[in-house]
Amino acid sequence: MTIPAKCIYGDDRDRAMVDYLYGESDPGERSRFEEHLLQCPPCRADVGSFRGVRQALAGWAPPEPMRALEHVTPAAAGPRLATAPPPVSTRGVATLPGWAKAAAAVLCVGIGVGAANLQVSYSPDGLSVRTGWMTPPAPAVPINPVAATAPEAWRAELTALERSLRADMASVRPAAPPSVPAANDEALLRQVRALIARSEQRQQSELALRMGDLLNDVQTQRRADLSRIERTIGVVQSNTGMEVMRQREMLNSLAVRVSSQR
Amino acid sequence: MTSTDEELVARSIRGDTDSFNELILRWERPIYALAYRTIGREEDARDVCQETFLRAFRALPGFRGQAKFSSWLYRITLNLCRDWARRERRAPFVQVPDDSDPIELAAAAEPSESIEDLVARKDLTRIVERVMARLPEEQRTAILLKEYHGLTFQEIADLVGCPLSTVKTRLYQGLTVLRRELAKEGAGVPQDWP
Repeated sequence: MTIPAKCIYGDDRDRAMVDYLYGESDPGERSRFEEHLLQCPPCRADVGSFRGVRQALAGWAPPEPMRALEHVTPAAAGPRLATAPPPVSTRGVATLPGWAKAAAAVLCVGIGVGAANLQVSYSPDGLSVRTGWMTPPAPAVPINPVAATAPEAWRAELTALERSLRADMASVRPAAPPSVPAANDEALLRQVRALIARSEQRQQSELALRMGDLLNDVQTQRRADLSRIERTIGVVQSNTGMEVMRQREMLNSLAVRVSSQR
Repeated sequence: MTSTDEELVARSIRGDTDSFNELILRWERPIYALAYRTIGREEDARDVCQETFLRAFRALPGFRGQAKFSSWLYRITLNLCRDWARRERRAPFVQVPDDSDPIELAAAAEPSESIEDLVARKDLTRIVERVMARLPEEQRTAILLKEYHGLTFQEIADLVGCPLSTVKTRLYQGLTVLRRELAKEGAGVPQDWP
């Protein structure tokens, strides 16, 4: 920084200038500095250009803090705040190296395949892929190609099978259905009614819970909206204030110019 | 009637979390703005903002009110931003927003502003962001706290822990660097004093 040779402020020039620029000098000092500005073109130029810099700075607004505090703003989160650990950032994944992402993907696929019990087999009939935990029933008799067995032979086998099945069914069939006493019906009905009542109660409480959640959500959203409106009004007010301040500064400078011309 | 920060702080210390949430609503935007202007990344600024309030909440019982609550929050934010810079080992990042969407552009325009004016304003904003990122940390902090948060020189001196005269010198030097860098970037600094 070069101090103009004629500047009476010397080493204090920068401090006097920022005091004046930001309106922190007392009225006496302010008018003294304004008088000095009329005599000192370099200081005058500096004040003018610094005001320009400030104008440029005034246009720099940060983006809206969209959900900056989603974890802590709702009133309901208050008690949680006392114990909650800092929210975990989800950006960690984005910054992982490529090999780590690939390893994670392989691990996920492996777990998925294991959970689905994927079975791949290749036989003369072709490739078969099977998933799930239900094992297919093993065939009781080996399946022979139809063409290999004579029609008489399989008809005889079928008849024998039918006979043995009928015999088995006859042996396991109960003689007569047991007659249920009327008292049992009563008990059964009571049980069913109790089950239905319990189910209804459960559904009602679930509904109440969901309604509560919904109301909470609506309330939170309402508060967020209100605070956003309040902030916007604040911004408008501060912009107006800035404008008023700027106008005042312009008037001051105009007054100085007029007085200098007189 | 709106409660003062001090009243809300006192109630929060007594365990009234609603009062603390009120403080959050009141200070969220300035704290986020300070974090964003210091480190230049939206997501990191959000994280710093959240962490500031969490730290403040945890440290609230120890807050004796020697400084204003806002100054205390600003100090926590600046410390977190410094930690961020140390961790990332880099200067503030300059995020380049994608303004190519004409609908977004039109929506962002002030009622009395033409699209050309808006584009010029956006360009200037980007240039300001870039040149601010080039400032030394002390000068940038002094300018941010003065220009955008309206702290007095004495408050800034107390907050950053340096003499009053040092704050003024940093601010003067910062403005000088900005003037030079803005001119280099082709953003003609308007001079409202001949």
